[in-house]
Amino acid sequence: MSKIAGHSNLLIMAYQNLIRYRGKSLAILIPLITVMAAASFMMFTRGGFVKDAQIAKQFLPDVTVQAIEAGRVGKISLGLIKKIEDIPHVKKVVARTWGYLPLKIGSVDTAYTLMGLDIDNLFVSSKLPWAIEKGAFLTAEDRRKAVLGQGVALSFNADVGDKIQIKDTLGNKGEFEVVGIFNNTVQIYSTDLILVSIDDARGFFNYSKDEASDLLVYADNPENADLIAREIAGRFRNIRVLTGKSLTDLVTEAFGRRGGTFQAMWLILLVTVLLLVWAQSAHISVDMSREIGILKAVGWQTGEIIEMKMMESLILSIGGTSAGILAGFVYALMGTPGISGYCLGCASIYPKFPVPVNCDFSSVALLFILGILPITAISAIPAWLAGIVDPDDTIRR
Amino acid sequence: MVQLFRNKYLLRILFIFIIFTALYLYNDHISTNYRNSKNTQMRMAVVETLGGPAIPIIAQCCTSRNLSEGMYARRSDLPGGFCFHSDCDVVVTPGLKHEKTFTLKVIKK
Repeated sequence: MSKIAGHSNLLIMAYQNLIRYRGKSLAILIPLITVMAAASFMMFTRGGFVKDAQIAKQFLPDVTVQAIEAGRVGKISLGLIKKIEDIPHVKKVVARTWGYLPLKIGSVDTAYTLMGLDIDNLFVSSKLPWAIEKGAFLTAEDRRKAVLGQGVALSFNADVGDKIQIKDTLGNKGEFEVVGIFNNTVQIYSTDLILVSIDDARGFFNYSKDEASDLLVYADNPENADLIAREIAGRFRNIRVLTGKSLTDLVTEAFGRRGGTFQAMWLILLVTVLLLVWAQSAHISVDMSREIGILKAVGWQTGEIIEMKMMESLILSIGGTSAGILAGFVYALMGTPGISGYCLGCASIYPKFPVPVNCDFSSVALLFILGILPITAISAIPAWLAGIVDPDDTIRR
Repeated sequence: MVQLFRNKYLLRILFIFIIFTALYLYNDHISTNYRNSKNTQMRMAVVETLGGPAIPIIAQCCTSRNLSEGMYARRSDLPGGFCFHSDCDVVVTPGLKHEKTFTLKVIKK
C-alpha cells in the first residue's frame, strides 16, 4: 500500500511540475495535440469509407458482368441475360447503362455520371424514398425524366420541375425533366448522378436496344457468387466479372493507399515532435537543476527522480494524445474542412458532402500507442540525466 | 489518487474521455451503424437500387490501368469511378478539348 502511495505522490509531484513549468509543457503539448489530431482524423475518415464499403458489400449485386472489347470495357449484349440466367444459382440478371459527362464548371473540371436503370427489374429498396430530398424516384413508366444527385443539382441550380438539356459535339443530346433530387446524406454515392430510365440512357449514349453497359447478376445465395463468377468467366469470351467483394476491396485498397501516403508524412511530423520533446526534456534549467539537487539532498533517490521525470512525460503524452484524438474526431465529424480535398481524393471537383466517420477500438488503441510509447521512450535518457545530477554541485551553483 | 482528483488532472482526463465516448456513441448511432443509423440505411438503399455505384471520390492514380494489377484494378470502369488524372482519362475525345465536349443547360420551369 505504501508503495502505491509513493508512486501516487510522485505522480502528483510530476503533475505539479508540469503546471509550474507550463510554458515548457505547452511547448510539447501543442505540437503533440496537432500531430495526434492529424493522425486521428485521417484514420477515422479512412475507417468511415472502409466500413461503409464493407456494409455495402451485402447490398451490392453478387456479380457485375462487363464486356471487354480489345482490352477495354465496351457494350454488352443483352442476349447474354438469358444465358447467364441458365447458370445454376443465378436468381436474376438486370441490365444497366451508364456513361460519363465531363463538364467544366467555372475553372473546375468535373465528371458526372448519367446512369440508366431498368426500374421494372431492379431491386428498388423500400428505404429509397428516405434518400430523396425533393420530388420522387423514377417509376417504370417515366421517360425523359431524371433524378439528380445533390452535387449536380447544386452545381447547375436545378430544381424539381426544371428541364436539363445535355448536348455534346458528337451529336448526342437529351432533355430530361427533373423529378427528384437525392438528399445530402447519400451524396457519397449519388452526388455526381443523373439517373434516367435505361431506354433514355441507351438513346443518349447511342446504344442499340439489345446493348447495355453491364449486367448485374443476383445469386440465390451470396456464398455462390464466386461459383457464378467463375462459371460466367469460363463460359463466355471477352467477358469480365466483378464480384461484390472485389468492388469492396477496391475501395479499401484505394483509401489504404491514400492513408499510407499520409502516414508517411505524419511519421515525419511525429519525429519532429519527438525531437522537440528530446530538446525540451534534455534542457534542465538552473532552477530545475537546483530543485532536483534539493530533492536529492533531502533524501530522494536517483530512481525516484527518474520515475518522476518519466511520469511527467507520461502525463504529457496521455493528455496530449487524448486531446489530439478528440480534436481529430471532432474535425473528422465536421468533414475535415479546409483539407477535405486531400482526405477525399478528387473531392475538390465535387461539392462538399458529409463523409462517414468510423472510430473503432483498434484505431484508438493504435493512436494511443503511437502517441504515448515514443514520447515516453525518448524521455528516458533526459530523465536519467536529470536523476544523476550531483546535489552538492547544483545547490552551490 | 484523491489528490489527483483535487488537482483536477484526472478530472480533465475523465472529461475528455466522457466527451469522446459521447461523440463516439453519437457518431455510431447517426453515421456508421447500419442497424441504428438511418443515414447508413439511406446510403445502402441507394447502393442496392443502383446496383453499386463507385464512390465518386478516390485517390488519383488508383484508377489508372496497370496491367500488372490484373483486370480488377481500374475503378474508372465503374460508374462514378472516373478520375481526371491524365493517365486515367478514359472519355477524352481525340482532337477535342474535353470541357467543350459536353454542355448541360438548365431550363427553369
